[in-house]
Amino acid sequence: MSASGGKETLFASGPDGTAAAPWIAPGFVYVFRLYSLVPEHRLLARLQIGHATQLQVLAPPQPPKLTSPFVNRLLQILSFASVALLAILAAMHIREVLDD
Amino acid sequence: MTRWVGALLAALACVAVLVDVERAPERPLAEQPFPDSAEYTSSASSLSHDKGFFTYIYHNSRQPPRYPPGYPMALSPFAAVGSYPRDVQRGAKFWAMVYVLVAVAAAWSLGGSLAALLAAIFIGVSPFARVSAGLIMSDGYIATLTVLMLPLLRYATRSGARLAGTAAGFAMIVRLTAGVNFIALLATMPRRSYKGLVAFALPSVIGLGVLQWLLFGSPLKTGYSYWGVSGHFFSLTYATASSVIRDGPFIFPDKLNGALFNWTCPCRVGGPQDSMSNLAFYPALLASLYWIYSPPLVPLLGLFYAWRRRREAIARYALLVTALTFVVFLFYHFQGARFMSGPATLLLVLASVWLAELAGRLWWALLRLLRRQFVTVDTA
Repeated sequence: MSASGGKETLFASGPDGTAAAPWIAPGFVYVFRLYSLVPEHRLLARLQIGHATQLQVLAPPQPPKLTSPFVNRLLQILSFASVALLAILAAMHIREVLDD
Repeated sequence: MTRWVGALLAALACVAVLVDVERAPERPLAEQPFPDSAEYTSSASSLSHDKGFFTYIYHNSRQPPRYPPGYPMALSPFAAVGSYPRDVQRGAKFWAMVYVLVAVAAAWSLGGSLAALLAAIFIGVSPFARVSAGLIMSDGYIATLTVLMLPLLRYATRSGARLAGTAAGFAMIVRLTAGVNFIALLATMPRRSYKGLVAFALPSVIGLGVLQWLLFGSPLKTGYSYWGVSGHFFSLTYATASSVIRDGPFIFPDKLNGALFNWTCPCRVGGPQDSMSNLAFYPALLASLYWIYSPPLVPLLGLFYAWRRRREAIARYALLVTALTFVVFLFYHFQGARFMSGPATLLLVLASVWLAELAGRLWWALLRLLRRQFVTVDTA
């Protein structure tokens, strides 16, 4: 944690939990940074409170799941087809209205 | 003859607005709202190039986006051709132009060429379509899918119900809160259309559930929960709280720079648009006291028209979408003019239809008066 641009000090550590910050006062800007130490020292998130409150998540908390090449190809086809489907259905509707 | 002149004028106005939107300046991707635009752009490109639904904007590592896949899917065909990110930007511009076309066509189908002309003018003199064309944000696309229902409700055909279902399903996978469109459709469409509506809306929602199950381990977990930002999105206190996070005028600015609300200041850096509670902001926005979607007070005419005809499907749909969207975002942690793109455009279209009806009545009354006077002169 650093207050109003000052030096960073340790606020809390551990795999989970809560800690009170009763010293927070109006008129100051506090920046909290969340680091992971395993497997490497890495900045995960940054929370600023004060004049303009801001939360930045820089790194996700767990590794993402991947999708298979089959699913990726399916998503590609569905994406392209979705636009075509809208156009085809719109054309069918216009034709039906004109026929009536 | 008059009919042809009206149609020609409406078509010319629509083309003029389309050209203006096409020429709208594009905001560099680095200056667009983060992470929304960056994730949309990257994931659209990823979908298009057979790499799955991922974004590569975080230190070039493969990550699932926090937003649903609907808008990147709509942009993905454009990401297949050209250089990144201009290719995706072209897609955003295309959908902004479709927004104009659909809104004008909806007005035309409900109120004829004069209504279309008025809708084109209202959109043309307002910033929303132009700004949308320069941003990779889903709001114009959502509004298009919302307004598309008006002509489909006017001419209730079998393929119309299927298109309405598809559009409602797509809207839900663009923004989950667009589920209000589907609810409004269920409440307004004739029962014989239910089958087509539900059958064509469900695949999108089921598909989203399957994708979320594959990416996050549960159909109910979203990208928001993956990124740890899903808690406390909705609360009753957000209606009046000053702690909501506001877009301010930085995404869709008021054409009047908040001039109609300067009396409420001193304000934050973004002026009145960045300083009001949800409870005060959204009604002001829906009345166009912030000139973003249409000139001031125009949507109130649409609201009045819809209320007077609330027994008809079109008016009921517009009222329901407006009311439900308002209620959902009243208690939402984030505040933005863009969340009202659907209802604001619905009201703009209905206002155009009503004004066209009034103008038509006035025209006939004038003709009758003139005829009567000529007849009087003849007989004299």
